[in-house]
Amino acid sequence: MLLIGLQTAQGAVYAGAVMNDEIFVCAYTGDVRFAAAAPAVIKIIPDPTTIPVPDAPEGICAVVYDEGQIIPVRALSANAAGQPKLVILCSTNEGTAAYAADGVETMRVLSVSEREKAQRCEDTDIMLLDGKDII
Amino acid sequence: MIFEDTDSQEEMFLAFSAGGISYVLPLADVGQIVVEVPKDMPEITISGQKGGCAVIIQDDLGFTALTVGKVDGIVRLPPACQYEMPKEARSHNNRWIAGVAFAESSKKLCYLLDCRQLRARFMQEQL
Repeated sequence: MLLIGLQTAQGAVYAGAVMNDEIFVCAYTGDVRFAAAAPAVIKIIPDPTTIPVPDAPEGICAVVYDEGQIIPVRALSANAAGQPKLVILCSTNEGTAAYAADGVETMRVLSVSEREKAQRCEDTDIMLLDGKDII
Repeated sequence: MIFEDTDSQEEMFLAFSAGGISYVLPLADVGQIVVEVPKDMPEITISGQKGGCAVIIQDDLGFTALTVGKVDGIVRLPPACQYEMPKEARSHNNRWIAGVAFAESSKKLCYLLDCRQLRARFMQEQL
């Protein structure tokens, strides 16, 4: 359980007890807004040590160095400029996944309408909040 | 240009950048660094842009000129700083990347190049 300040879809702010698995880290990259389930987020790396990948496979924009590991960074937006300002590391069944982000907006419960509009990003646990296709 | 002292030549690499990306080549594979590419020598341009100088690499297939933007120095990269390229970041076209290195001194990442694969990838493209 988390005690957290919440903002509802209507903009009202209240404090309450919320199950941790209902909380999402909401972030954006380029013109794409996305959400990662908070329990899956390992860390958010500011000013990450990255390098672009030449001739990269589709959807990969860079690799990042973190604590002795090199992790491929997934790009969720074709319009994100340059190297990621943040890298969000998430745990998955296959190990650690990294996502490029320009910034983090909120950490909160998703509204019903957001959940309805959201689209799961292929083989990941990431929710694309505006239902946009990934690159 | 930075020179770092070391006893182990195998850990020594020529660092350079091309197209805004940092690379390193085993120093043992480097012949010369020249301003102009010798006539009749095969030329590879990783970034697609003609750069400021060319590194002449040598392997069992002969000499090739690698056009680079800027030579950054000669650095020591012990095996502990060298990592495999994650398979998710690999493609048919980037097999010339042998691995990734994290340079402790600069806290930056660079790619380790495989001269043979580099030649295969870019010379094939020119045919």
